[in-house]
Amino acid sequence: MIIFAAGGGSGIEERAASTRRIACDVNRGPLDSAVGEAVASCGLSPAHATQLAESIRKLFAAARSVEARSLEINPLVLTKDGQFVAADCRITIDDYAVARHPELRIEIAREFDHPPTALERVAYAVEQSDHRGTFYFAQLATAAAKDSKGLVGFHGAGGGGSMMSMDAIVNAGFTIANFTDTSGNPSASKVYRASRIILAQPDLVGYFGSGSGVASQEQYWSAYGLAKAFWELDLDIPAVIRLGGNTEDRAVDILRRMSELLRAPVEGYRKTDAPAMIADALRRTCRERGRDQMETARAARAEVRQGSIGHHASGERRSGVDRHREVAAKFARRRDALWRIDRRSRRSARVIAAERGVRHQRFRVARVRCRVSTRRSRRLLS
Amino acid sequence: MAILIDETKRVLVQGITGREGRARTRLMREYGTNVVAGVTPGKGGQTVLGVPVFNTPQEAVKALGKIDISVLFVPAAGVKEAAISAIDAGIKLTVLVPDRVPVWDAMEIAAAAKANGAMFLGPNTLGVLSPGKGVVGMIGGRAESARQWFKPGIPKALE
Repeated sequence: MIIFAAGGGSGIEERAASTRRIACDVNRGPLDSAVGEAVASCGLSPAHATQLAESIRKLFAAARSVEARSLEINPLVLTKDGQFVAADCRITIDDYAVARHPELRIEIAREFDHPPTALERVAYAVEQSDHRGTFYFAQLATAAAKDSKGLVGFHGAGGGGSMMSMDAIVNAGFTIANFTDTSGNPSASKVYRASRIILAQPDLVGYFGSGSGVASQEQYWSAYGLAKAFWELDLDIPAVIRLGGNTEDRAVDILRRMSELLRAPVEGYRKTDAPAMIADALRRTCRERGRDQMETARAARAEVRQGSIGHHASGERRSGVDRHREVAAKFARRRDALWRIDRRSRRSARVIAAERGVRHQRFRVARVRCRVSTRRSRRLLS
Repeated sequence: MAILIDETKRVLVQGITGREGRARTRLMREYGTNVVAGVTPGKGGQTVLGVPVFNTPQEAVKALGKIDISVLFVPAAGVKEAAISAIDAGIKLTVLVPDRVPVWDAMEIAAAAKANGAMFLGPNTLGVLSPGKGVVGMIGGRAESARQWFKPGIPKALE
């Protein structure tokens, strides 16, 4: 559709009466009859009318060639020497078609109200290499508002539920650091990458995951993705995650098991849990986490005073580092065992898992944890 | 009101050999949808979950007779070609699940549908579901969860 007005473009949508609408066929362009009628309304000389009609056809061709969502010329000027010239022009390219137009050199095909941040660039790159599901990431705030309880990383799935959840987070007194959406049944790896990017934002006090259930995410995939990110980063801020709908019980169980290995709590919720209740849970876990951290710091100071640092054998309290040293050592042992099996037989993980009488899925997570723990165990055990 | 999907409608799944197509075929069938064929170019002759796979919708229609609905689980860049081939094969309802389909592609699909007297839903639709009868697309997810979410009749509050 081309909207055309002899009186200029300002406010054209409202001045319906004085405008002409030129119907276009997507393949053939503007219909000749409609173009003729529009041009005739301008009262131009025949030579100019022919030129104008040509300009209108070219306008369509230009929009088609770059897959514009809209192309606007305002004003279109007739010069003294009889030439039609586009004096000003604005083209909006379809975000989804940008990949087909490298010649336009559009780096990030997303509408942001700010130049893309480093993390947004990374997030965009993730989306380019994986078509399974969709992933969107935009940073909203880098500092908590005054009187806020702190910045929260937001990880939604599905637009409507995300809005309800974001309202709930704001009502609970937090500032939302980013908007993220992983929906359309994304792979675990996409959710994992999204989570890593969210957690790369500085100064977060909590992580809020929001997924509904009426669509059809395999929620346990998302749970695995989140669990892997949390484990790798040794999450030390509380996370509340709603993974409602398909396979929600399995998803919540994965998060519960991961929570046992982390410094901060990860709580999983189902579709029957309302966003406001989950936001309350975030408030509670943040408060408790703050208390824990203060206590740990106090205990550490006490240990230093007693000169007992580095000698844990006598102490009743196990520090976070101790616990992690144990966990890392446990997984390092398991990893070594698995690697031995792998090297010996070169059989698939599924076969090995079946022989060992463990469920394949669990086995895979164990491997994920193991791989990650290599780095950490090296650091912690050195 | 027109019922777009029920247990009598014969459904084609385009992109059936892919991750999403395969998973959704299983779920749609568990709910009661009559999936008669699949299409993946270059993979004609295979079967997925017992469903025969053809190279094009045209081939599927030729081999199996009339098909009522085609549902697409193909990457966004391939949606235009897939949808238009379904419309050209005489399928009167095409359900375009993928997101991020370029708008000019969607306009071409619309033009092709209009020219052939066909309908299409999407792009970026969750699909259609008739409670207890059938589903095309990804709405509802697993059959047991779809049965919990969608029930026939009008809720008391809205009567």
